[in-house]
Amino acid sequence: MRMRDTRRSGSYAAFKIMLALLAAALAFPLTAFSAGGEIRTDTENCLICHRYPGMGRFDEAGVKRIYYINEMKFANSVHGKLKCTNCHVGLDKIPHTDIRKVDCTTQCHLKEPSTEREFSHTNMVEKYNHSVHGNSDPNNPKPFPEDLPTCTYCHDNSIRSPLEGVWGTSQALANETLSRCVGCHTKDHWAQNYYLHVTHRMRHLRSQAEIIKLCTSCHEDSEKMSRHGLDSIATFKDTFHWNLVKFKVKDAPDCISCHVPIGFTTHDIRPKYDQASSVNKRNRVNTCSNQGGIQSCHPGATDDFAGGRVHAYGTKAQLVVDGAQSIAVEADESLLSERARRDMSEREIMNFKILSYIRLFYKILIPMVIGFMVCHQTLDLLATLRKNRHNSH
Amino acid sequence: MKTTHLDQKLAKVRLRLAKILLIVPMVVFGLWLLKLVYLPNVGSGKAGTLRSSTADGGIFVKILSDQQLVPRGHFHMVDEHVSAQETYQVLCLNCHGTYPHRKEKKTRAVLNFHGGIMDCTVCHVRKDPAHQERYLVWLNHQTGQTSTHVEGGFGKYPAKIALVKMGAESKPVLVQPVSEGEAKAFLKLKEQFTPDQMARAKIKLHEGLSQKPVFCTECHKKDGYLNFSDLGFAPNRVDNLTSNEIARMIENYETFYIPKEIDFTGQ
Repeated sequence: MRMRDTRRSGSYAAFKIMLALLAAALAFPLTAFSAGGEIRTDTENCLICHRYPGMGRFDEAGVKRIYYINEMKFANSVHGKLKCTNCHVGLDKIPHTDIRKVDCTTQCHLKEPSTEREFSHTNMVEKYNHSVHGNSDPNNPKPFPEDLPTCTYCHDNSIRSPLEGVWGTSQALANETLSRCVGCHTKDHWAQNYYLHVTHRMRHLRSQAEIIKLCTSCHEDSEKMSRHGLDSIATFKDTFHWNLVKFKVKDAPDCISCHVPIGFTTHDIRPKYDQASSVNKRNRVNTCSNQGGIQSCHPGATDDFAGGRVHAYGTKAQLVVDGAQSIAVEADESLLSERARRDMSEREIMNFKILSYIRLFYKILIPMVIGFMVCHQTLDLLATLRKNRHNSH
Repeated sequence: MKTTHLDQKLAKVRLRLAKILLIVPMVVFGLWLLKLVYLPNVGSGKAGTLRSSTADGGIFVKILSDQQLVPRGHFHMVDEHVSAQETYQVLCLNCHGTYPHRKEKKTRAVLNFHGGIMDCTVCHVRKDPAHQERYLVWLNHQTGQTSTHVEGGFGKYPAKIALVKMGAESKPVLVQPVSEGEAKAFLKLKEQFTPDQMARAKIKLHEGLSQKPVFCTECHKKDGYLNFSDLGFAPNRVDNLTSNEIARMIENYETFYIPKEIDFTGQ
């Protein structure tokens, strides 16, 4: 046991009393977790402080730090089996001033059943690092690394709940299934955990609108996107796909539908010019048809169909056609211009020009039609009023 | 003859009404169409500006637009017990928020969770013999109901311990560091204050506070500042609160190293 000699007052006897009190607290933890029917204890007794909802502070950067843990939610979450120190490594003193940032590649002392090795998320993190969102190449580091999402930007410690099914409500389904499982798998708690794990993975955790909200929380920021040579995702909201989501059409396509179809993973989203990307030209037919998936969106998709533009034209097209002067550029647009010149083919530039002329045509036509209509109706109304007045005399 | 004249008038009114009924939806439709063409939410070819919405106002506009009670990137699923707006609350929260303690590393988070259990005034406005009319009670900050019974537990109470005094019609009212009228006057005038006037105003605002707030071990001890029994805590909980190991640790140690070598769990 280490004890730094920075005590304000007291003596070694006080230390012994202190240790005895804390030892008692650790030996008889106050709060019990109930996960999947089994009562487990907060073996490290972190909840002695962290169960209070007001526990938190604003840090030096003005960020709200919430240190509160809702014990029941945690116990029923995907990480509910873990001890706090499995993730919060290096936590050995109070105040926790030396705590390390949580690293999802840490081995968390659970056995991964297919390999019998200690489990960690290393596999996913490695994929992520090589993805469009990662920053793995030291020779070619991405600009503005602070813009890139971290694990917790997209993930939270989601609550596990059983799958809704053909047998009725989720609880009834769980009861029916588990009654079959526990015949052979006699440890009820193990069977429940296994069932919840599997059914949790079978569910869509986020609705289409929630997925779009998550992705657009970064991709709609045009300034941030331009720093990375990307169009704002605002262009998606000018599409038929978006309108389906907006009007809550069942199975409407969200970002994941095209960027992570069957055979791809969210952690390994690649840029479209990468042949491993689901939206690369060579993979687009498969992506649009999504053969083998639960939902086959465009089963008869051809090369021509899949080669069409999905997102509407945005800043890049405008930069190529009209030049930087046309846009109120505050961010450094050089990367965006460079990418625009690379990404926009001659045909697309022509299409954009035609669309621009059509738009201009309607911009002139519509106010003229409406203007004439308003004038006509107003004059007609005035004429009627005048006629009425004349007749009444 | 009269009937015919009336019929003619009615016909004219009907015609006029019909025309107005035709024009209004057409004009509304026209305006909608114009909005669609000229002011779309987003749109192809409407690359618009690359300037983010916060560029002009900087960080303060960003803070104003941030309505999330739990910040993005917070991993654990939590409820928002503390951040709920209250009808009856001490004025301190209007400026200091729900996490007012920031300086002392050892105590700031622990003191902040007490904000979910009690009002600021419990520690920052000491009871003194000159104010015998003040007493501590559980106050439901949504309904204003007082109680001497504990409901809930471990920071999840429907009420908070509050310093109150008897008001009109024998109704307890919150003790505030300044009157509500004075606080409103300060908020109204603060833009006009010179720096020196502001400094004076801040001193006056905090004049009702005790020089030395109540410290952890003043309450968490036998016969301490707070009478936990009077506040309705069960005897075993009173024992726990009056012999609280965290409070003693805070008092006795600058840094406490968590014993690791002893495996109490047998794992």
